[in-house]
Amino acid sequence: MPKPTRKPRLRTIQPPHPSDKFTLEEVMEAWRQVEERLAARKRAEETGPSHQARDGAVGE
Amino acid sequence: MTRTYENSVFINCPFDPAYRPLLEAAAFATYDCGFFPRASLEVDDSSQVRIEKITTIIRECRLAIHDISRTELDAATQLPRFNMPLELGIFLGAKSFGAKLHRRKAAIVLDTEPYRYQKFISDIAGQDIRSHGSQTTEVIRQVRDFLATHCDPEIVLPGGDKIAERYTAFREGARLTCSKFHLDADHLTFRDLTMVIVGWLRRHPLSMPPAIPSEVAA
Repeated sequence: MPKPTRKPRLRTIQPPHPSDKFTLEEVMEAWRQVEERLAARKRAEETGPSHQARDGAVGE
Repeated sequence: MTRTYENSVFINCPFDPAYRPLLEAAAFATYDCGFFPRASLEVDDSSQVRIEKITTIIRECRLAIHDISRTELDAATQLPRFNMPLELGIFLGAKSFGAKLHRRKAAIVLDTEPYRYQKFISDIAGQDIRSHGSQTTEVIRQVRDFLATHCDPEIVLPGGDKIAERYTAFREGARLTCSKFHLDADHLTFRDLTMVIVGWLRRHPLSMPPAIPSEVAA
């Protein structure tokens, strides 16, 4: 009696990892974070020299 | 807002890295004016012949921005690059011979300098050719002024300088935003570029300035 053949198993193709895909909402969120970072950098640039000037004045 | 024939704008321009800032500026201004930019780069489909992609997009767009500024001799072959004038010709042909819908097509033709086109494509001398001097601000102004004449008569678009100011703000964070998605800002596909632009515009919608309080107005 012939041996029953095993049904070939289909290999499941994995979809890309969810973190590889981005939605418009995520793009908007990224923009929010970037803008916060740029605004913080700008604030630091604006306040930085005045701090130095004040520190210099104290030292004099 | 959904994309329709009425609000779709075919952008016929070079795609080389040197032109990239102007393409981005044109796409940004188009979106900011409430229209949808379309380009042959939007679909990456090797099974479709390039000219078919172009004619399909032209069929689906009432408006077009044609930039013929890169009609110049190729350094290696010493032959002119003629893709942009060809696509302009297809658009003008569709307007002339197409069905009623296509006779309403309208386009703006841009070049680097005024009247340069007369040396290589003098048959379009009757058209209104505008020059942008390879400046993004000028591209934005021209695109805005063109689209302002083709939008809903009840809508007033902000001036080109305001849109250029918004584009500058967009550019400021674009590279950093792209890096968050592992995208190279210098090599974005058209679809990725539109996604990044739309993301910014959704966060910064154009709106009327706040109403002046009555006590101040009085």
